[in-house]
Amino acid sequence: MKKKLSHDVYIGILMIIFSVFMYLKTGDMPKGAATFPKLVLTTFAFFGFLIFLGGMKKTKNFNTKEQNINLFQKNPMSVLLIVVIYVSMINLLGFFTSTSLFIIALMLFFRERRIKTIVLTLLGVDLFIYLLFVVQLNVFLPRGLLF
Amino acid sequence: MDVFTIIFEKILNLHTLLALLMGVVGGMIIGGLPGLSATMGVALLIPLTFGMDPVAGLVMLTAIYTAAVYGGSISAILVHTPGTPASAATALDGYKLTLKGEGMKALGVSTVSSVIGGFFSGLALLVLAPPLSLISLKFNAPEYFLIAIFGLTIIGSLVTESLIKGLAAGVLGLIAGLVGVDILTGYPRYTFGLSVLESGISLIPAMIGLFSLSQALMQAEELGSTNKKQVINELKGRVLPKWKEFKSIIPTIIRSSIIGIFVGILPGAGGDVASWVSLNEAKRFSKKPEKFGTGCIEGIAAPEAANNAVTGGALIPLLTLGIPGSSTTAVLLGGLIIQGLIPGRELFTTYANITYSVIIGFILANILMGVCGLLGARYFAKVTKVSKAILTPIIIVLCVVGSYAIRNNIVDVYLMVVFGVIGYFMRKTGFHPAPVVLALILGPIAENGFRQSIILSRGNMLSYFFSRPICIILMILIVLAVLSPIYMNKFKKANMQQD
Repeated sequence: MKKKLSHDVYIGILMIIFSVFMYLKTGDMPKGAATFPKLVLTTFAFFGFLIFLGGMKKTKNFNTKEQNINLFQKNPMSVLLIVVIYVSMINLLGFFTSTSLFIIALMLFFRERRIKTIVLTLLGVDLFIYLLFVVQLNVFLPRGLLF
Repeated sequence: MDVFTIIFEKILNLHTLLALLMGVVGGMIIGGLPGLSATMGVALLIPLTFGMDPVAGLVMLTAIYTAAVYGGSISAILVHTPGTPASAATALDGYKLTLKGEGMKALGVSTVSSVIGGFFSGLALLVLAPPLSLISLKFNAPEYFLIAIFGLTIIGSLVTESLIKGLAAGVLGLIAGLVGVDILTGYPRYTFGLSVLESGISLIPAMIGLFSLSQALMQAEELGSTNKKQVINELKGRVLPKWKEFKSIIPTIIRSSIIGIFVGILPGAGGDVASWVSLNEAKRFSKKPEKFGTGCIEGIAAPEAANNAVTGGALIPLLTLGIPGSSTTAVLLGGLIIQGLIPGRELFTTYANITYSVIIGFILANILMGVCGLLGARYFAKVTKVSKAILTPIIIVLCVVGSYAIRNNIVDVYLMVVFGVIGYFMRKTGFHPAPVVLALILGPIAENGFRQSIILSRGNMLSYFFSRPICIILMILIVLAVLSPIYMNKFKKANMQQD
């Protein structure tokens, strides 16, 4: 069976590539502005190298538990997708409309089927945010097509 | 008007008292919910403090901090699920008492001990912080650079199992801190042509994303895994311990409070260490050490007094030197900076009115926590049963509205989501978000100190650093901080095995 590489190997490589990319950018900077970034990026690349080495070592001492960490689990990724849709709708639909839709969507996703619970949570959150942020702290939350 | 009148006026007004109550109750709830941490609570509520009077805002944040530690113990005692790592030691004897049907008594002892521990630590903060802040007067550019590096090393070396990953997370935060217009040369660094990035990555949205949104995503992971139905036994009886019982635990409480304050002052060693050490010491001093672990009240009093005493202790290096010893205090540092308050001597001179009011407010928070605890502990226990289906949407909406409210800017919300994703993957791969946040705060301080040191040292930085005594001490401390995880792990293992 082919051994699966520990995710630390990839992380280490990513860190080094990232450091090199950012380091090249310091070429355009004035002298004083570039010193600290260079120092920090060199350190980051060094840690990347250490993590890469550690990952290789872990791969050798094959450990199923360690290898089985699934970085892209279905549930958190679905929640993230719902959040991204929610956030991108705020300017279009307005804060309260999109928030209400988001709460309904997420609660349904979490398998909450009691309509009363959903409605109460929805109203509670909207009212709390309205009173605290809009009335008390004078925050102008985005308005959209509806209100 | 003398200082005392000003301080009392600042605290005893409706606004501050409401903030205090909100902090205490909110902290107890957040602490009681397994999976939600004090750090997350403080990060979520910082945007609220933005529009508040500094005293009210900071009192609320410190109240959340101490009340969350206490709240964590309620669930540790009643359902054997420590809400925070600092409460794990309490679960041993606390849950045994609950099983015996004496849950109320356990809660009472925990409340009284927590209040006394927290109260003493507040007094220690009041007495020790002002003279210690004098040290900061001796700081110059090289010291500021090293103190920032020390703070990052401490957090990096203690929050994760891997020292290298902890330190790497800190450096990643320093890189994020580079984004924006360089103050000295006016050059826009790493803005990639985006004007929104010119003022740098804004701290609060990044913090909320890293701590709160990422935790909400973690919560979604366990969705579908069968939720253990936790049965809370009917809670009966008096909550306040009897005088005789109270008298028997006084020495334990005082000893544990002192341990807690001391451990709190040491950067890096947090509430969990303090509670295990105190439990051990209580056992060593006890005439009947065999009782521990079977449901004895000293086994609750010791860790409880200690973990709350840590909170005041940890505020000492934070306020005087700007060194946060834990992720919660790192976030609190963000709360201070937002109000324009920079840790150091000035907090105790120019801003003395604010600082002392906050410290007195912190002491009051501990007392109020006791009152709320004694009156409502049995109801708080129910909060731990609130389902994720309700909790997660609420947390995410608060993340969104909080990031938006800082500058009334939707871009900050996008930034929060980006950092939430980064935080989630960091947690999954064994990194920790705390060093990133701290580095975002300390990065500019470190860079300024570094650049000024280059100029001051006229090219020979190493000999310049070694010619300054405080620098030498700081460098030794940095080396110790790097080595400390090795000892800390050994110590934790030894303690866990014993219990």
